[in-house]
Amino acid sequence: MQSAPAGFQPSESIVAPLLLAYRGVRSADALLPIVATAAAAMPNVTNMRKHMVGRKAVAAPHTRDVFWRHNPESDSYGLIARCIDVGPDQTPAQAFGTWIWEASFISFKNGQYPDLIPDDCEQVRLDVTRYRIQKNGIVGARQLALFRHLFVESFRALDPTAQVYGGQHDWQAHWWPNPPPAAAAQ
Amino acid sequence: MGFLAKQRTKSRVAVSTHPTRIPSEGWLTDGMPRLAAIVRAGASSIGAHANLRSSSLRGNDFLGIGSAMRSADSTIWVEQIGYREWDVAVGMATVKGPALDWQIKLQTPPAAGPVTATISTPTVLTKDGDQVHKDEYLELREILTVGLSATALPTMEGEVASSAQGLQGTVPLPFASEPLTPLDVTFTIATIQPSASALKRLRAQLHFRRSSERPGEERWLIGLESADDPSWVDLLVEDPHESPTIFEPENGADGLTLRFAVHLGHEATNDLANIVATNHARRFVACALGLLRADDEQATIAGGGPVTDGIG
Repeated sequence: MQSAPAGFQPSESIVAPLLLAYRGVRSADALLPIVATAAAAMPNVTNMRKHMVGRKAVAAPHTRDVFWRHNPESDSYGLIARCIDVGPDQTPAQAFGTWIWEASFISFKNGQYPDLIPDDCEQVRLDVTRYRIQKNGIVGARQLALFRHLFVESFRALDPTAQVYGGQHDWQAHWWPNPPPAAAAQ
Repeated sequence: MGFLAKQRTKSRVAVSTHPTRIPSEGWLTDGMPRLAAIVRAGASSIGAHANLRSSSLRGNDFLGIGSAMRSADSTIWVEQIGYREWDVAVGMATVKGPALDWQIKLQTPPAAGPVTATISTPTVLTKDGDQVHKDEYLELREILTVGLSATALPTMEGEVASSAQGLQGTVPLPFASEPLTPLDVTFTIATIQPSASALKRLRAQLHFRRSSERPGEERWLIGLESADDPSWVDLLVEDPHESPTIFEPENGADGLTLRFAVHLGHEATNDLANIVATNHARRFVACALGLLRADDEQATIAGGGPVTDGIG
């Protein structure tokens, strides 16, 4: 195998892209269920934050979760997954416009990385297209790192010899310790 | 003073166009990841500033008291819009949305030959004519400008550091759902399709790790691979004629009942592992049923208790 192309060097960055090459199920068929599984596997967490009730800002528990949207007609990424905080009176669709982070997915025709990936491999890429930094750290980092890990693991389940290039995709148990009984807001 | 500051701000945030060394060919596979790497480097650089604070106050601020009362740690928003546009913004996240100090937009319209990038500033907040957080603004703009003309990509140290800080520098939020662990439960899926095609489809397309510990056994591992007490789903194929109460094929048609046994391991000190295993089990059921229904819309599911609730 050649070294990774520019932008896909190995790193522990959770916002760097991931490029996967594998054999088996067509990427167009595999991508959606795998993204849906990674999103469904995410643990919901409670985030106390303010929302507007009439003209007053009131603190209320919001549920932080990951949802996906598929639009094959889009002229941009046809499949995206977003981490969002859903308020007590909101549906996920209503909260989808706000985001903590967003991962977007592309499946490529074979042969797009000829120096790196054999022609008979399926190729998919995860790009982190939206995120926030606060207090020197990426917001919702645990969810994003876990999502990336589960995404890659699903492709490795389809093909244990799958090749992965780019940022973080392993998982360290100490990244997500048990929350204290009355955890402070992140 | 205010007039001069205003003029300097106007000059600082003026639109600029930059030739790059990035070819238009192979934009999605090469050019776009390069641009995204430059933007990430810039955002991480300003994200590393200590004590960066913003205020939601707009308008007059007598003695700066209002700003101080309505201030908080700044948020940096990084956004890729489509394949050719990036926004980086600094401000305060408020209940009504972002209160921006400034926003930089990087656009790379399609062109023949090397890409030309445009940097603009759709939003800028001034105080007495002077730009708020102008040092950070200049720093980002400089990183973008240098990155666009460079042959090598910027270092990833900044985004690795902000990743590590996000993962380890904050207190985890409390979980909002309870795991089902520990649990052992069985469920069945009855389908009219031949066993060979059903099994082939499940083996090829279920994107959960297959266990290779016991050859011949159909076992998918679920949950986190690092879990000390693992979880799995086993499959036992039964002859349909031996389970007529679950499925009775018509006119001698081929068919089968697939019986699954779900085992959810439990870790006393790792709630995350328990919740992921629970969520994975539910997702496994949905995926297995969905794959079998691709060839047999009438495939039915039974049993499973809380693992299959709401599925089918």
